[in-house]
Order: sequence, then structure tokens, then C-alpha cells
Amino acid sequence: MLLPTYYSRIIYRNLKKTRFKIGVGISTIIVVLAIIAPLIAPYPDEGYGYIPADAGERKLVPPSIEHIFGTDALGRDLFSRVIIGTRTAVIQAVSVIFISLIIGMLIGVCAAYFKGIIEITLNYFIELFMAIPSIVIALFLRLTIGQGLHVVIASLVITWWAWYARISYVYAKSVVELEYVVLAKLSGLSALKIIPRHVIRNIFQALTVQAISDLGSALLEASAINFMGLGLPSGFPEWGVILYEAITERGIEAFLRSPWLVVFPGILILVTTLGFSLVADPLREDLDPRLRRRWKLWF
Amino acid sequence: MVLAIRAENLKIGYLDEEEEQVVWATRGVDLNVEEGESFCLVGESGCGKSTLASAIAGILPPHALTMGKLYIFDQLVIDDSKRNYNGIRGKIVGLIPQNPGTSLNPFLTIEDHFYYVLKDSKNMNKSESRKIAHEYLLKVGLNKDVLEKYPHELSGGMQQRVLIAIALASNVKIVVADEPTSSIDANLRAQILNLVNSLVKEFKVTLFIVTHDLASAGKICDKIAVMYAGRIVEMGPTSIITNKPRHPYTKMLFESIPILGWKRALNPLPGEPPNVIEEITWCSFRERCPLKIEICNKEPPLMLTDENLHFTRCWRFKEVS
Repeated sequence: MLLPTYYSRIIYRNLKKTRFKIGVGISTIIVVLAIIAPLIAPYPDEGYGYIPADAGERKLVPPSIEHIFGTDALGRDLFSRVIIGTRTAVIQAVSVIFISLIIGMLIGVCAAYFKGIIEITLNYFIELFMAIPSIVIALFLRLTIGQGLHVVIASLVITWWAWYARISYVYAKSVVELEYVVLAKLSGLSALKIIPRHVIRNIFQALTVQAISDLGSALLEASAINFMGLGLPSGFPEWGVILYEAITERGIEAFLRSPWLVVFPGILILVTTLGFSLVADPLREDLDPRLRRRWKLWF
Repeated sequence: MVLAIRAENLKIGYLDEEEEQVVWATRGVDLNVEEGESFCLVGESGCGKSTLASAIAGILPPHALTMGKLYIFDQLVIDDSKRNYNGIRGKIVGLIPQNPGTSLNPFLTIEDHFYYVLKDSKNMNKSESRKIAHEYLLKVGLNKDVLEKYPHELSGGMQQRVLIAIALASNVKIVVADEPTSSIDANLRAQILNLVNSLVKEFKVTLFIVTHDLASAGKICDKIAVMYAGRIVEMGPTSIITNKPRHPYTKMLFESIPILGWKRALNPLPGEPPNVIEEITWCSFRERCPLKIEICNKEPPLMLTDENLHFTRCWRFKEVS
């Protein structure tokens, strides 16, 4: 959409910031892990949820050299499960954000460009979908079409696109009043040409930054849905599911007797979310310098 | 002699907020612009000159109401409420917009601006349009580096030059410039106007320029039309208009311009232009006119005065000047 030099210039400029470096580092590691996860997992089959033959002898083994993160209540190697879970996490977060971004951007831009009844109707739709919590949608989908990755993604997209629609509506509203759009419109250029050429091009940067900073929240929400047992089925390599299994099978003992069951997936959720936020934060400041922090942490 | 623009009793109006009354921006304009001449339309704010310019350029908003006729090179583009700019807009008539800052897309390079215009008007591909763009940028005094730049990297004067180059690049026959100098510095104004004028002469293009700056209009244009309250009150060759104005409004306009180095008392125009919502059947300048008499209660027609091709809309044009 934009020139690659434009993006590389932004990334190069931000690489001077420590925050951005850490964020890019974490995100890169997570993405690379997601790609090569089956290769580095010591027990890939167990990672995908198969219960090994000798499960009875190695239930709830604490972290050791053989099982770096220990094993769960069914005797599966936790490290393999968590590492392969990275893949699910990235797929969930990226596909939710990507699909919502496309839907939201188109609807928001159309609401801003075509005025009158279309604008009012679409805005009411946007507000309607903003009002519904994703957990409720997930519950509904769980009861009607069962479990699976599509349930998680669908229930998040249904609520998430409205935010992008609102953001792109607000940005596009100011762009469509500018002279180059008005003149193009009055001289008879079709909306199909004006919208991608003039409107989307101008709001795309702001939306991308918003999308990157939302990756973390999307992951958190997806994990929450899975943790409640509404999304992915039990045994699926996903951090929320791993926590859900630990809590349902062990109850409060999961925290007290076998803390590795909750600590490792939890830490990975935390670190991944942090990594995505650290990438997006400097980009957002770049876009709007008024958001710059006055105080400084160690980075 | 070919007429480039011909307007016959052209009325353009807009509905007001409640959609009850029509506000007529131009209330019956008769206008003849010959091919190859530079024609200047002057007038105060709100007299309808920008509306007339956008009618010629073909960028009237869809909710505007039109009456009368407008011909561009003998093609009827406005026939009462019917408007048909096919084959005219962008191909015969080009526009230099008012604000260069907001008329260029900040996310497109200058090269892309040329490309999108030339692709739509002449079906050119990228390399052809680049060649044309380079050629026309040289003509307006910019070098090749500008092609790769984004609009924010250029100064206001350079942006205006780019817009002039884009307007000329599609080989239009009429260039409409809607206050091309209103958003640039005073010292650049004359420069830009001279540039437009010399290019227009070079490419033998008809220039229709809208301005409220009488002094600079007098320097570059062949013909001046003065507009007041939606009507053309005086029209004629520049030398006659500037030296021997035959309408009290034009005369008072010239008396209110400060001229550097000439110490004299400026005469401000008292009063306000009439309310355009009402139908005006009297001379629209009656309230502010120092020469008004009984006959001014009747609308004067556009009359030919003794000089050649000099028209005025005043009953007492002989007493003026």
C-alpha cells in the first residue's frame, strides 16, 4: 500500500529507542518460535495433545533436564505444549486483528465517505457491535457450533471490527473533507478509485499502529475465551487451554503443589503481550508526538 | 475568433439549510471568453466568482441548482438543470485549485500525482507520464528531484507550481485558476501569476482566472470582468477598465487599492452588498452608489459603451469617470 522505503525509514528511526528494540526482539523470537515450534519441541506429539504410553509413570514431574517445564497431570511434556502453543497464539492474534482490520476499515471508510443514511446506519451498526462483549458471543457460538479455532476467531472478530471501524471513521471523516478528495469526487472519479487511492492511503498508517498495539490484547482475550473452555477443545496446544486444564484437573493445588503448570504459560502470555505493546508504543508516539511520555522507566 | 466560454443568463444557486429558499450565487451571467485570451474575474467575497469558476471547471456540487446555458467550445455543458461535462472536464478544461496545501495527497509522490491525472485523462502508463511530468516541471521552473518528493517536502510556492504543471500537463485548452495566489506570500504572487500567464501564452491556452486582487489582475490579463452580487457589472479590455472605468463600483474599487509610493487618501466603499436570497429587480449597487437617481430603481442591462467591446451595467455610465 505504501512505499517500502517509507516503512523501513520509520523502523530505522525507532530502532534507536531501547523499548522498540526490546519489543522487536521479543516479537521476533515469538514469531520464529511459532514457525519452528515442531522442530525444537522435544516431544512434538505430546505437544499436540497425545497422551504418551508411559504417562502413568511421569505425571506432574517438576521441571528437570528431561522435561524443562515439567509435565502436566496427564503426563505430557509441558515445554512441548507451551512451545507449540506459541503457534496457536500467533495465529489467533494475527488472524483476529487482520480480519477485523479489513472489515472495520472498509465499513468505517464507507461510513465516512458516503454521507447521509449510509453513514447513520453504519454508525449504529458499529455502536451495536461495540456494545456486545466477546465472551458472550463465544458462549453463544460454543453452544451452537461447538468448539474450535474458528469459534475463537469468529467471536473476537465480531466484536473487534467495530473498534477499527470507529477509528477509521474518525480519521476518514477528516480526510474526506480535504480538497483533493472533494475535487476528485466533484470531477466524477468513482468511489472505487477515490477510497483506496486517497482515503485508505491516508488513514492506513494510524490503523496499522493501532492494529499492532492490539495484537497483545487480542491474544489476552483469546486466551481468556480458551481459559473458560469456550473456544479450543481440551488438549489443544494453547496457553489458555493449558491453564484451563491445570485449574480444572487440579483446582487450587495447581498453584500450591505444581506451580509450573500455571507459571510457564502465564509468563509466556505476559511476555508476548508485552513484546507486542513495546513495538506499538514507539510507533504510536511517532504518529502522534503528543502521546509521548514525560517520565522514563529504565528503558 | 472562436469562443472558448460562452454563458447565457447563467444562474447558479444553492438551497439553504432548511431547503426552502434558493440562494443564488450568480444571478444571470452573460460572458464571452475568446480562445487564447486571459480573462480575469474580480469581485468581493461572496459575489459568486468562485461558483462561476467551478461551473466552468465542471466541479459544481451535485446539489447546486443551475439555470441558463453555458457553452464550452460550442458544446452545451449546462442546459438549465441538465449538466453534462463528459469529454470536457479534465480534457478541455483544467483547474488550478485554490489551496495547494490541501489539494495534494500527502501520501502520494509528485510523480504519482501526475500519473493518476494522466492515466485518467490520456491513458498513459507510468514511464510516459514520468516523461511528461519531467517536461512540465522544467517549464514551471522545478527540477527533476521533485518527482520523487512528497508534497510536504515542498514549499507553498513549489506546491502551487506543481499544481500548475499538473493542470497544463493534460493538454487542456482552458485553464481555470480559482484564486491561485490567495494562500501564498505577497512577494511570490506576482511571480506565480507571471508564470501562469507566460505558460498560458506559450501553450496557447485560454486562462480564466478568479481573484480579488485588482492590481495584479490588471498586470497580466487581457480582459477583466468585475462581478458584483452575482452579476457582471463591467467587462472590457484591461487598459480601458483600469484607466476609464464606467461603473461606479469599479471606480471605487480602484480608489480603495493602496499603491506603493503614491500618497493619497483611500476611499473605502461604504455599505454592504445586497442580500442574495431576495429577488433583486433594481440596480444591485443602488444602496452604495453615490450617483443613484430615479432610474436606478430599474435593473440596468449590460450595455455597450462607446469604446469597443466594453460593457457596463450602469444607467449613468457617461457620468462616471
